[in-house]
Amino acid sequence: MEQSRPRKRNLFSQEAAVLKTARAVFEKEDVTDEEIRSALEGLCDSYEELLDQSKLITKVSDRLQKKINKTNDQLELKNVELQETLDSLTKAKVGRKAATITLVIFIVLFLVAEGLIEPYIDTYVREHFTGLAVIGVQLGSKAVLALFLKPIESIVEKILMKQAETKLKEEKAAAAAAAGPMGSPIPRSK
Amino acid sequence: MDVLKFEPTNLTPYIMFDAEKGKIELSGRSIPENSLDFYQPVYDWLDEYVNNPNEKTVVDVKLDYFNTSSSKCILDILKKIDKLDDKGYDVLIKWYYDENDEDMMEAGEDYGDLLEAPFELITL
Repeated sequence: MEQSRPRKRNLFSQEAAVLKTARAVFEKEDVTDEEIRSALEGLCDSYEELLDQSKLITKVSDRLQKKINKTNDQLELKNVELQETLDSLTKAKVGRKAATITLVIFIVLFLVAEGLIEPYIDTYVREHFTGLAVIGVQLGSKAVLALFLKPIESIVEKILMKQAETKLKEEKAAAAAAAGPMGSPIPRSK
Repeated sequence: MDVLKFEPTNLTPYIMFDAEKGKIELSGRSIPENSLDFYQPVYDWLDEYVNNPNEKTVVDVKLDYFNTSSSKCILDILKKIDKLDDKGYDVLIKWYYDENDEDMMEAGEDYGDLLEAPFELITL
């Protein structure tokens, strides 16, 4: 024999009981006018009570939604601020790294120029120029090397920035996948 | 009657109902997963209290936030206490709210409109 499951209590069980009582009266065949009047009175009182509750609960619910919307706006704003801070930090970090790499490249180029190219330039200059012109050409060759510094730094910075952006995108995608559909922002009510 | 006391959590409010002193306090945040399960002991305690109440009952409500189902439970609680006023007992309901929390003030006004007992709105 199937056992009846215990009825689960709910927030409106009292109101449901009032309705059940009224229905029972109206479904009776030999119901008196007095019983109908009494049931109707009870039903009216409960309806009034329920109406008051509905008004209150609707207002509370609307206020909650307003609060959620406000909090959502604040979160979005904070998110933008956080992203801007993160971008600045990444840029600063990349800038420092690019400067270090450029310095290393410069030192290598300088050593290569001094050890391998400079002797040839020196010989050529001494054969074709004299006096201050020799010093001028020697300084000029170093100045050319120094002029390459900025473009090299820009290229390195661009490459590093691209790498950082790709890494950030991958991290964001992984975080979104881990959060699942619940990780999306709270939908705004219309 | 025993004192009914619940310590607050992230989801549920602090509750302290003392029959001997006629003092009822409800404060904090009320967003339980199942409001009825949480408030049922409070209903039971109140059902017993209204049969043998203190001459004076003071209710302090200091809520920061509550969900929709809690709003119904809070109304049920206040209605039970309100009946004491009908019976001629001295009842005072104090609704506290943060001065910057307009929503909680309006909620207090709405509750006050539905109750017969003296109802005070007090800024914290």
